[in-house]
Formats: sequence, structure tokens, C-alpha cells
Amino acid sequence: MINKQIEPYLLKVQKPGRYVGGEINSAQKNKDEIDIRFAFCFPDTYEIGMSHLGMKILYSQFNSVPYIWCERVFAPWLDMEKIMIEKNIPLWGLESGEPITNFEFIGFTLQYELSFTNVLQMLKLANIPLRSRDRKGLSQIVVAGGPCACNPEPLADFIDIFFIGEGEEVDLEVIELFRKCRNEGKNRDEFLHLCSQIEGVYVPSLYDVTYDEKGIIKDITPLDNAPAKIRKRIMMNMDESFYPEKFVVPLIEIVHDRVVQEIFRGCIRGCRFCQAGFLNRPVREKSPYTIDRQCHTLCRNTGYDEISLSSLSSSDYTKIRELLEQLTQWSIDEKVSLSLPSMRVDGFDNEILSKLKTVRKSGLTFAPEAGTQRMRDVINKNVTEEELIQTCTVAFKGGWTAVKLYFMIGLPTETLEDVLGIGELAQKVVNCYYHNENRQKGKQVKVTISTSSFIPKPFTPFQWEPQDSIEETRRKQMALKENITSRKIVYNYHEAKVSYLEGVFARGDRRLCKVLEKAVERGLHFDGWDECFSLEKWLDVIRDCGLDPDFYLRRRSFDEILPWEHIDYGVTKKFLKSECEKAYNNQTTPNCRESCSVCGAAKYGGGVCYEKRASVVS
Amino acid sequence: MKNVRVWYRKDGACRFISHLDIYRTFSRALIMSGVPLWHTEGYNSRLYVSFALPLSLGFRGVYESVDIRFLEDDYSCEAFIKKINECLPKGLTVYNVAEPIMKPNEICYARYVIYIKAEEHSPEEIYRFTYDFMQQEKILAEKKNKKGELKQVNLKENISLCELGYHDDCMEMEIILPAGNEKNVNPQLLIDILEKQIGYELFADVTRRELYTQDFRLFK
Repeated sequence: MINKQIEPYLLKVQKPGRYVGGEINSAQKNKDEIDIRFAFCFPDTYEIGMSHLGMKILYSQFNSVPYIWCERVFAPWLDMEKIMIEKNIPLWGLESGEPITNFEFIGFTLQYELSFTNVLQMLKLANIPLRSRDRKGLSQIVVAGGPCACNPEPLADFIDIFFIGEGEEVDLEVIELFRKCRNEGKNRDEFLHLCSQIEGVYVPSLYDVTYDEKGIIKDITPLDNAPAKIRKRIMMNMDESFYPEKFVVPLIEIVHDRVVQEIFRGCIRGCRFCQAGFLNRPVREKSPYTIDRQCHTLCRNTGYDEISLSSLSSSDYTKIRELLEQLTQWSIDEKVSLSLPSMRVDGFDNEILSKLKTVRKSGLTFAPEAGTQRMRDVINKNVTEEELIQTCTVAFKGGWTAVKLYFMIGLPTETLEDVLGIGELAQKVVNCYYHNENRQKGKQVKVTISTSSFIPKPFTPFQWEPQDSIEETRRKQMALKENITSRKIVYNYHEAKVSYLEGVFARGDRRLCKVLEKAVERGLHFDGWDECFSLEKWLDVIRDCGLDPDFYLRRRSFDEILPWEHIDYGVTKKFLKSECEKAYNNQTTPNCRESCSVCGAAKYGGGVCYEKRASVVS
Repeated sequence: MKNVRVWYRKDGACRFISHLDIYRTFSRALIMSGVPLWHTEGYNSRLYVSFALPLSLGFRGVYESVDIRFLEDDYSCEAFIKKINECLPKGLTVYNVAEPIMKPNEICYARYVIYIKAEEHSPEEIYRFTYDFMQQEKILAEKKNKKGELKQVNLKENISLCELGYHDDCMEMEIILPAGNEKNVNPQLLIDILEKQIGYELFADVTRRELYTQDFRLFK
């Protein structure tokens, strides 16, 4: 339903389709039959939020419960926000068109550190008090989950409840508990206290954090019986885990406008920079049967003619051939195209290629991540130059003429040679194209290389590493740029200032809460957008709060208490530390299928940890 | 194979999406409906849909049409209407399916009904101003031609009919303007100039009611 107050102004803003709802498969319910109103907030624009799979899963799951009405809320773009403030129109849910101010639950998904300000801005626009302690009674419970909840501390003062790990079960347990508490007349504090006893729930107000004179954490003390360690929740049986039968089909084009189908969670690889790889251990696969059935249902219920098979590393799916075989049995007839993003360089062959090509040809992207073998060993990206060249040869023979390669700069132990190696590797790919006899005549090859800046993230072996300064990052970017001479190579790099701020929040502590609050007061938000980002303004805010941003980018000692010390994602600190030490010695670690490295994730009792390994069987 | 013209209304949330988004939404609904339809041939085969005349973002439409091709000659139009409406968002409603009589390039005019209001200004005040505004000899607007150059156009000489009245708390304007591939005048141009001359912000609600050929026959 279109919000009546905003309707007259919709033609005064860009892309009004963002604000009107009314999509096919959006949940319409009768308010009188609803016990819990849940505002599922994505702290970025409609087009970005609507592309997010986690939101689709939880939205459908919530709405499958008769007494819950879950609505979608996105951050209004600046033009709309201005009108809302001027006309005093509070933030509304797209399904009902009603203000979310007095909803029982306001939930945020945290995908990106630079969207933290949007969380606060959205609360503000909804007329909800920012700080947890200022919200009273049993409503306006502000919850948050998603990957950035792994270090929730920069948002600790604002969020009542963080969900640690996967949300499918724990969200509903908390809502159930809420109903029970409301029926029994319990107050907000009693409810939050009971919540903290549920596994996977972190109530930050129940922990006291103290610091030494340098600002390093002295102690994290649980209060009121709250658990000393908050353990993540995880879905062990992916075939039985909830998956939507339909997606809300947006009226306007979004970033990923297609069916997205998860094929497994986690990653066997253990690349040492990759937070997702460690947060989501162990690997748990869906069966080809389940994937096939879910894909077909989703296509029928949405009208999409494109499926993206999503995972952290698609070619590691053990039954990839069987799956593609099953899917192509109907997808070709129904003119549905398949894409497999996140392919590894070493997992690519002609057969997979031909299946993906059945309907439409998409671009090819690989992520060698580093330019030299030594550097790739340090980060445990077990891919060789030969494999990359081999893969590109296959692709070029298959008619592709453009390849995208992703790299990182600023990795631990990196030298200038490693940085320049990125350009040299790209040149070798260009040469590989011209050595190929079967290349398309008259067509030029285009190799696009993109470098992002390495940001040390919590729960990775590099969580103690320092982050490159802005100057250092720029120096490396320029060195690489100057070293590329071929016009067939296009070089893109990520703005160093943005990575700097992202780094501050990624490993930040609770003292950053006041920074966030002040930043929003001064109008900073949408920091992930070039037109809004201003590092200069941020540095002023951080200094005005009496903090030093570089403090958060420094090297941390192995025995320091980290801000996320009380959160447990299953992988032990001991393992992370040993991985970090191996990195210093250029030593690699075999992937989970080759041999178990005893990371700690086996305690969940399933997934890849209990698969029969080829070496064991023979 | 049978060519059909699908007649629909564009309103509600769908009023706020662009023509390209209407195209995407319609295509997906057609796929979802499972009705056997003809696809274009060639390297990038896609579902054949051909809209008579795009409608601007923000406008409502009650006489909109899109041509498609049933693979089966005797496919039931009633069954199609039922199926497609289940697959379309609420803002798009198919109300008729008929044989195409005229070609879309025969369209020359469109009739619009426009409700105009303003904050803190009465409809009578807007009416009086608009009345005088329409009496002007020339109403000059800048318009991009097909080459992308800005050209001055006298809107006045393009208006075939214009009647003013009232509707609820709005002034109502009914107007016929050139429409189609050859020459198209968007009523928004006129509203923009009116707004400029009246000196305060106007809120306009535009509905395209009908389309006509050169000799003012209803497009069918």
C-alpha cells in the first residue's frame, strides 16, 4: 500500500518505484489478525536491499507465521529523506504503508560497516529513540544480524539484541519469547534478560567493557547471568532449512534481478583474509534434488528467466555436474539461463562451461586475489599461475574475449614485487589469448583487473594484522598503474579513504558508538556512496569524540582482548593464530576436503567435517 | 499463431515505474502465467511483446495496450485474462484481449485528464490562472528533438482540445495532444510551464484516457 502522506510527493523524487511497494508476492495481511509487526530494515537503497538473499529468506519465513507481519523497509535516498523530514513523515513499511514507529520489532541486517550510519538514520526517520536505554516498554525492540554482527560493538549502544550466526531459528525463538513475556506482563529488562539465555542471542547491554589507559580492552564482564561466550547459531541440515517458494518481484530493476539459489553455506578453502569463509564454517551442502526443486518453484512463482547459483565458491560444490544435468533438463526448454558466480580458477572446465552457455553468455570473473605465488601462499589462496592460464585458455577457446580478475593489495607481508606481480599476471593472460589459435578473428581481448584494499576482519587469521595507511595504499595503486603498459588491460581500484573508514569500524569497539551518533547528527550517512562519503568530516567527528582512528588499524598483539572476544563462531582462536603464523612462513593449509586442520567447527556435528574423504576411503 | 492486443490499466504502485520497468514486469508475468507465447527468433531469443505507446513514469493509463502472439490459434482470451491478472502486480490489470485492428504507428493523438492542485492555493485560484494561461497566443516550451538538440516548441498550436473544470479539491484539465512516434507532446511540458508562470509548486495527477488516429478515430 502506498503511504498516503507521501503519495503527493512521489513524483518529486528520483525512482519513486522504490517507495511504493505493491510488488507481486509481497505479503499483505489483515492487521487485526496480527500479533507481531516486524519491520525488516535494510540500511541501504531499495535496489541494493532487494538483491539480498538473507532478507528474502527471513522475510518469507516470518510471513509464513500467521501472527507475524514482516514488512520491508529501505533507507530512503537523500531526495526522499529531505521531503520526509520537511513534511514530518515518519519512515514506513512498504507492505502496509504505515509508520514503523510502534512496531514490536525493528530488525536490521548488517552487511557492510559503512551502512552503520544508515541504521541510526533510519531509526531517526522512524521517530525511534537511538539508544537502547531510551526505549521503554515491550515494543520497539531493535534487533540486528548478518555478517557485521560478528563484531557488533560499534553498534552496542543502539541495538537491543544481536543475532549471532544464521537467523532462521533464533529469530523466531526470540519472537516467541516476546509474546510469552508480553502475555505474562513482563517488562523490557526482564524480556532482554531472558533473551540472553537463548543460544545465538547477544544482548550488549548485559556486558560491561573496561579499557586501559591506551584504550585497549581490559575486561568484558557479563552481568546478570548473561553467558560469558555467545555462540553462533547454524543450520546444519540445508535440505530441511527454510527456503522461500517465492521472491518479492520488484517493479523496478534491482542489482541482482534474478532467482538466487543457495547451493551450500561455508567454504572449504580457508583463504586467510576471508571473513565469510571462517564465520560460516563448516561447509553444508544442499542436495541437487532440493536445489533443482527450489529453483523450478522459484522460476514459476516469479517469472524470472535467470538463476544464479550462489555460494562462496561454486565449483567446490561436490555434485556440480549432477546438479547442472538436472537443471538443464527443464531450464533449456523454459529458456531459463544459469549462472555460476564465484568460480574458482581451478574449478573450471569445458563441461561446466557448455552447460552455462546453454542459454546466454555472461562475463567471466576470477579472483586470484594476489599477483605472485608467494603472496597467494600467504593468504592460502591455493591457486597457481598455471591453473589461471589453463582456465583462461579454456575460456578463450570457448569464445570468451573478456576476463575480469580480482585482487587485493595491502595484504600481510606484501612487497612491491607482489603488487607489480598483479599487472604481470594480467599481461600473461593477455598473451595467453594471442597464443590461442582458435580465438575469434578480429576481436580484441580485454582483461579488467580490480584491486580492493585489504581490511583485516574479525574471526580471520589476519584479525591481528595492521591495515595499510591511505598513503601506503595509494602508493601501491599508483605503482601498479604505472607498471601496466598494455591497452588491453583495464585497471580499477577501490578508493583508499573508504577502506580506511571501513577498517576502523570492522575492528572497532564500543567507544565508536558515540562517533556514529555524532556522525549522524552531523548529517553523515550513506557512507558507501561516493556522493555522500567524506573522510575529512569523519576524521573531525572521531577526533571530536577524543579517539584516534589509527588506533583501530594498528597491529594487535596475540594476547590482547579483542572487542569481539566474547563472541564464538566455532573456529578457535588457537587455530586462527596458528594460521596467521603459517602465513608468515608462506605455508599453505589444505582445504577441508583434503584434510581436517582442526579449526573447531567440527563441534557442530555435521557438514564437511563428517564427509568421507577420498584419502580416507582408499 | 495468433496476434492479440492486450488492453490494460496502469495505476497504483505501477504508476510510479518507468516504461522499461513496465516491459520487464509484463514479460515476467507472461512467463509466470505459463501461456504458450511466441518468442523472437535470432541469437538472443526473447518473449515477443510490443507496446503501442510508452506511458511516462507517474502517469496513470486506462487505455494501454501491448501486442503479443499466442502460439495456439484458439487459445481462450478469457482464460488468458484470468491467468495474466494473477501474475501481474495490483497496479496493472488486463481487462480485454482483442484482435489488433490498427497499427500502433497510426496513433497521432492522446487524450489526458489532469487533476492539478497546490498546497495553500484553492482550485479556483489555479483555475483562474490556468484559464488566462491557456488564452496566451504562444506557450513556448523547450523540447529535445530526436537528435538531442533543444528546440523551442509552441505548445499552444499543438493543443487540439482543452477544457477546464473541477474535480474534488483539484482543478481538472482535459486535453488532447499529439502522441505517437512522429510527434509527441508530453503534457508534463505544459504543466511545467504552467507551474513556472503560476509561481508555486503544483501537484499534477495525469491519466491517459484514450488514443486516436490522424482522423480522430479511436485506436483499436
